[in-house]
This record gives sequence, structure tokens and C-alpha cells, in this order.
Amino acid sequence: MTTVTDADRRIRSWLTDGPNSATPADALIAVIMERVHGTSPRPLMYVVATRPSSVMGTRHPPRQRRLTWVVAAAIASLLAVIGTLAAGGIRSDPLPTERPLDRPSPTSGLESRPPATSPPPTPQPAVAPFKPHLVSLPLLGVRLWIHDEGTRDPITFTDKPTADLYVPMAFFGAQRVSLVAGHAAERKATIPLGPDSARIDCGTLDAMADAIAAAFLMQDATRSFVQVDGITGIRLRDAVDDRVRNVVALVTPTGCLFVSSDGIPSQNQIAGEVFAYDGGDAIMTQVLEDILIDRPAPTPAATPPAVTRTDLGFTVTGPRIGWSGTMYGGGTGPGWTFGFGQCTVDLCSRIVVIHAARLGEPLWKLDPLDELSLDLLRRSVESAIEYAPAPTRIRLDGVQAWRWDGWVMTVIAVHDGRAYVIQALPGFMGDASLSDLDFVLDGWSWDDR
Amino acid sequence: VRDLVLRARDGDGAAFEGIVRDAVGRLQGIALRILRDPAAADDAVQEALVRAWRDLRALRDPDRLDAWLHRLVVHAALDELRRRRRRPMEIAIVPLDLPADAAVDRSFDDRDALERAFRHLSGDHRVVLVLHHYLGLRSAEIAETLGVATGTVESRLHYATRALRAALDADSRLPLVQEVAR
Repeated sequence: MTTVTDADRRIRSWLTDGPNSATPADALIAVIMERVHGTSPRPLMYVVATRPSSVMGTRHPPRQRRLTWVVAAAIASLLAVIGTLAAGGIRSDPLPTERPLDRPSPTSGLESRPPATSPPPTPQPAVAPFKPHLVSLPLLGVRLWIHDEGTRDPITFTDKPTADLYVPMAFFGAQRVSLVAGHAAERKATIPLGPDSARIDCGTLDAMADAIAAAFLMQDATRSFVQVDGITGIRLRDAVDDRVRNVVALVTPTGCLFVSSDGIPSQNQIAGEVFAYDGGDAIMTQVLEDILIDRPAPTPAATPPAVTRTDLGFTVTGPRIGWSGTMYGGGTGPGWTFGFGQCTVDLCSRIVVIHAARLGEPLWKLDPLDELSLDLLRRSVESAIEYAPAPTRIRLDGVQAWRWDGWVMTVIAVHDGRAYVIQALPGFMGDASLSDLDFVLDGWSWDDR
Repeated sequence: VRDLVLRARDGDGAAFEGIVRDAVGRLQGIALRILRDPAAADDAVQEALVRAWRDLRALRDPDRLDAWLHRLVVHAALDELRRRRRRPMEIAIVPLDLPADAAVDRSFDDRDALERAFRHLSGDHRVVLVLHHYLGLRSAEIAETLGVATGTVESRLHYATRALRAALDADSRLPLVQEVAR
């Protein structure tokens, strides 16, 4: 039995420990000051009359204070009515702004008020619209408990399987998400998530789909949403075969990188990427309609690349900048494996850096996929590789990354008619150049594998 | 601070920024502990401080700035909590940069149990716990901050603490269950 004092100490410790926020204070302050910029504190009378509870430091008890302002407001209203009556009574005609300009005023015979000289519009109070305040967040984690089917209670680890799932995610903007994920065999292994305790035994895609599917298990609705910032999970019941499908989407500001999970979540089934998604067009369309509502349509690329589906996924071709060759990426084909064998990652010397700013020149101009998005994707891949003991391949829908003896090749492709490629970097060699990249791309082609 | 408040009242944005810089960390801490979600907490802090700017002239006693800001952020957090409850589910967001030591592992069970219990508390109960434990306020101070009676605060504190203690008790019994299961 926990003693009272011990419990209080643990409660206090839990409530007081830990960081205050994942957001740098400067970023938050900047947003706040941007919102108040150009405005002034409201006049006191207005503030007090509408927010009596916000008065602090007065000597009046709350009830008396409230009564005072009620009386004051009543008197002010009465004076306003008297003033209106004294000025000629309450007008019943519509306001000038409500009257079409090409029609005479219904009161034009009574007063000379030309429509063209209607009073200027009353300036609206300078209230800045709400803006997402997340500018750049460090790594965050989302921990989900996979719930036992049929109940709403979390698995208590006396059940099988041990299904604690830890999904660390890198947020980089309110609508942008990248993530790596891992299954933890034991509860203790879930926190802290670091290079020594974390093991990724499945791909990013699978784990993310599991996470969302786990969230769905807690819901009864046949169609529902789960949203964690940029991750949107949607559960749909397919009208054709009456199967429940869990669809997981990574939402970018103007588009989506999709993955989908289909089937019973605990079976860890992944249908595949959108590129290879079979029979899911209707669902995907619905997903698009659902989660892209009110989002601006993607701007067509200046030079749209050709995106061709192949048995192995997709092939991206387009204008070549800095290197030659054709980029490949995509799904998994039958019997297809990478020929690298076991690739040991030395955690002590792991240096996986993709210089997106320096070498991430876009093959095609992609307005929506800006540097921030690129950095997000870079971090995603970087994290995945960092935490994977033997990844050989990290897959995040359109993001493909390979690690090969210290070389990392990353291909990012977006399926919505545009493509984006950032390059491989020799992590252990410190710096990289385009010639290094050429080596990687020319010396390591698809056929060579 | 008094000088900053007086200047900010007159529309001095730089003075208000000084107030924000001084308070934002503490307000983030309060909101985060009530909401258990960094993004939601930042939203609440943002709303509270913008509201503070707009209503600054309502603060008659500049020396009460902190208490006033605490009240604003508590209300903003409660608003945020009500908004978030309409979401399909809550997902715990925990920081990744935890220190990798054994103490973290040992306290993980506690934190997990408390986290789950805390999420079942009402917003009012969360608030009194945070103000009491995190800010170290006494019941009378909490009552003044929230504008409620001291007895109400003590009652909320009692029930909220009891719920968390129960969660700790239940969690401490878990290993025994595992033994039986084997």
C-alpha cells in the first residue's frame, strides 16, 4: 500500500519535473508579439464591462464588483437609447452598406444622401488571425497503448502480445510530420528512447500504421479520425467489400504522402504505398477529400516530372541537375532484396547527415515542398537510420533511404505529380560534394543490385 | 515589473514583450501540466498572453500581474481542454530527450500511472493540483486566483489527490498480478 506522504511526494515530483514545453520560448514569444503588434490594450470600460472576472486587485468582493458593472452597463445603455431618440429616433432603414449602389435609397426622398458618398467602413479591430505557433519543434514522442480487442482497457503487460508501441515523431510545423517508430518488446524499453534502448524492428511505415490502428481500436465508430498533428488516421468501411480499412496519411501543407494499413491492425498488415495501392482509389479519393478540405490545391510544378508506375514501384525521370542517371525508388517486388547483407551500424560513429540546404537542390521546383519540408523529411530519414541497428532500407512512403557501408542514399518522391530528390551523403566521410553524389548514383544503380 | 506593466498599459509593445519573456516559461509549465500536451499548452499560453495584452488595462494593481496571468492561463487551458475533448482521442505526447538513466526507468511506472489517472480528472481538479504542487500555492491563494471559495479548492484538491493516490496504489499491485498469472 502506498502511504499518503509517499504518494504525495510522487505526485508532486511528477507534476514538477520535466520540461515546461517543447517549443522554444523565443518562437512562442515571436508569435505572440506578432499577434499583438499594431494593437493596443482595450479601453478599460470596454474590457471591464465585458470581462468583469478579469479585474484583479480591486478591493471589492466579486459579487459587489459584478453588480457595480451591471448597473454601469445598464446606465450606459439607457443613455445610449436616450441619445438615439434625441438624434431623431431609431432608423428602420437598412444600413447603407446593405443597400445596392444602383438602387435609390428608400429614404432618398426624405434626405439627400448620395449613395456614392456612403460613409467609409468602420475599421475592424486589428485582431490578428490565429496562426499555428509551431515553428520548429524538437523531437517529440507519441506513445500509444495498443488496447486489447473487445475492451477499452490498455493491455497491462500480463496479456500477450507485449504490444507497447512507441512512436517518436519529429514535428516540424503544425501540419508536417515525420517519424520513425519502433516496437518495444518490453515496457521498460519504451522510455527512454535512445540509441541504446530503442530498436526498430520494423519499418517506419508499419509502425506508424500500427500506431494509428491501435488508436482505432479504442473507438467504436466504423469511420473515425485520429489526428496527431500531421498524422491523420482514418478508418473507413469499404462500401464494396464491407471491410474496415485503416488509412494512415502524412499530411503536408498542400498535399499528402500516403500510406495505408489494411486489415486487422494487430496482424501488422500493410497494404502498401499509394504508388502500389491496389483497389484503393476510392478510399484515397475520400481521404483526400476529407483531410485536404480547405487546403489550397497543389501548384503544378514548372517542369512536372514523369512518374511512371512499375512493378517495383515507381520511376522518376526528369530534368537532371548535377548528376546523371535515373533515380529509382519504390516498393518491394517479389523476391526482391537488397544485396548488402547485414549492415552493421556503429552507433558510436553514426553520422548520418543529409545536407539538404547545401546539396538538396530540387530537381524540380516544388513550391509546397519547401526547405522546411525537406528538412523534415531529412530528419525523418536521419532518425530512422540513427535508431535502426541494421536498417539497409528505411521506407517512409515516398521517402526511400538506403544505408550502405556508411553511405546513405535518400530519395524523396512525392506522388502528386511532382517529385523531389535529395541525395545520398557519405556520412562517415564528413563532407560531401556533388561528385560524391555522382559516385553513389552512378556506381550504384538499380540493376547493380 | 511594475514599470513594465504601466508602460504596457499605455501601448508599449516592448514593455509587454518584457512581461511575456518573464512569464512565458512559467505559464507554459502551468498549461502543459494541466493539458498534458505541449502543442495545446502553447496554444493556451498564446491565447492567455494575447488576452493579457488586450485586457491589460483591467489590471488595476500592477503588483498582481503574476496572479492575473495565472488566472488567464488557467482559463485558457480549461478552454483548450474543452476544445480538445471533442477530438476523437487523446494521445500522450512525451518528450524524447529524457535522460537515459535508471531513475527514469524506475519512475516510469509512476509517471505512467499518474498520467493516466490525471487524464481522467476534470479540468478544475487538474488546475488545483497544478497550482498547488507546481506553483506551490496555498489553498487561499488558489482560491483567489480562481475566484472560488477556499473550501471549494480544498475539496477539489482532496478528491484529485485521492484519485492519483488510487492510481499509484493500483499500479503498485500490478507485479503481483503478473506473478499470479504465471
